Amino acid sequence: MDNIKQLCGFIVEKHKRFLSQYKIELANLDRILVLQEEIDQFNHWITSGELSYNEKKAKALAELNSLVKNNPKKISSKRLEGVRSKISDHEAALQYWDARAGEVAHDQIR
Amino acid sequence: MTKLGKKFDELSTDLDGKIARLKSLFSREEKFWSEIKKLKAERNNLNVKVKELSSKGKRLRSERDKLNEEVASLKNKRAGIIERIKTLRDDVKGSVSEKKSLNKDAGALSTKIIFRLNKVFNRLLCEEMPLEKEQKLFEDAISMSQKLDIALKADKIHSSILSKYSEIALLESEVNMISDTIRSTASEAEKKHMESLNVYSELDAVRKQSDDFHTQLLSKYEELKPIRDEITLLKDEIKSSEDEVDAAYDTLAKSRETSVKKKMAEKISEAKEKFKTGKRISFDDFRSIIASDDIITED
Repeated sequence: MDNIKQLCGFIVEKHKRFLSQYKIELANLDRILVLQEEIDQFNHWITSGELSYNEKKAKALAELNSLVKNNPKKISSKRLEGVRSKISDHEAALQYWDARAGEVAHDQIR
Repeated sequence: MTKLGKKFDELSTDLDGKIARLKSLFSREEKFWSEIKKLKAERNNLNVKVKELSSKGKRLRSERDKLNEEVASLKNKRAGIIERIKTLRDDVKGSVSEKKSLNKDAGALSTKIIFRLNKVFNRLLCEEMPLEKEQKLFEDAISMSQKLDIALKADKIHSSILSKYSEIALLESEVNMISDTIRSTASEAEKKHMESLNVYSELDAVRKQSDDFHTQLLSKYEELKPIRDEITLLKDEIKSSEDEVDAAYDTLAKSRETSVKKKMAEKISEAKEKFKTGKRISFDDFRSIIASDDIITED
């Protein structure tokens, strides 16, 4: 019984770990999209002559390059959906294994 | 010869005969004593041998008994070990049956289950998968863990069986050693027994010889007894005969003295008469006259 509880705990830890990774990835993807949007905007302003090349764009570009470099997977809206779906799956699994661990503990007490 | 002289001679002859008989008896007695001494020496020598053989026989029997006790003790020890071996074999039999049943329940060797379980754990704890798949692997892991427990229990029983077989082998070796010792000790005891039988057989023969000598000795004493009785009797008789001879001698001497005195008185009377009548007297007559004073005085 202890082993089952322990195993549940390890699975919970795995899901937490994946969840944490996916959440970081999701945050990064969100940021990348925001940065891409910002750079598009800066480019538009530069093209329309409203704004010349400036530091804000350079800074956004550097951050974007760094994020892209650290996220080798293809950055797309499909990937974003996929990550969201993974987070949802891991949360559901986390909930299940938490409950299962609780049941084991409850059976132990009984 | 006078009557008294004749009697004295008869008594003296009788005494001489008795003394001669006594000497003959002494000679025979001495011969008996010599034989008795010889028989006693033979019997005593044999008695010494009897004592030595008896002591040797007792020592051999004591050694035999000690060896027999050792054999009995070793047999007891061996019986204990054999009982222990039997118990171990029964245990092993039960354990083998239990192990077979556990192996059947486990379905595979513990090493194989561990290998599979590691794979399942690795997937379960490292890989991403649908919850349904994860649930199935989780149930598989639990089932495999239970089977692993069973397989490990079977392994433990297997180790215990091997350990018991090792113990059995050691104990059987000990039983063989004890059996060898029992055989050699029993053989030694048998040797002591046979040796003691020979000694006691020799002892019986020597004792019989000694008894024979003793019987002969008693017989010699029996034969000697009438001789000794006769010697005692003869000694008394000789003493009494000596007294009789002494008495007869005294009587004879007195009689002879009286007769001499009478003859002397007659001679004196004749000599005095010759002297009174003036007849020629001889020197012998003269001596009689001289001696007459004494005789007269005595009368």
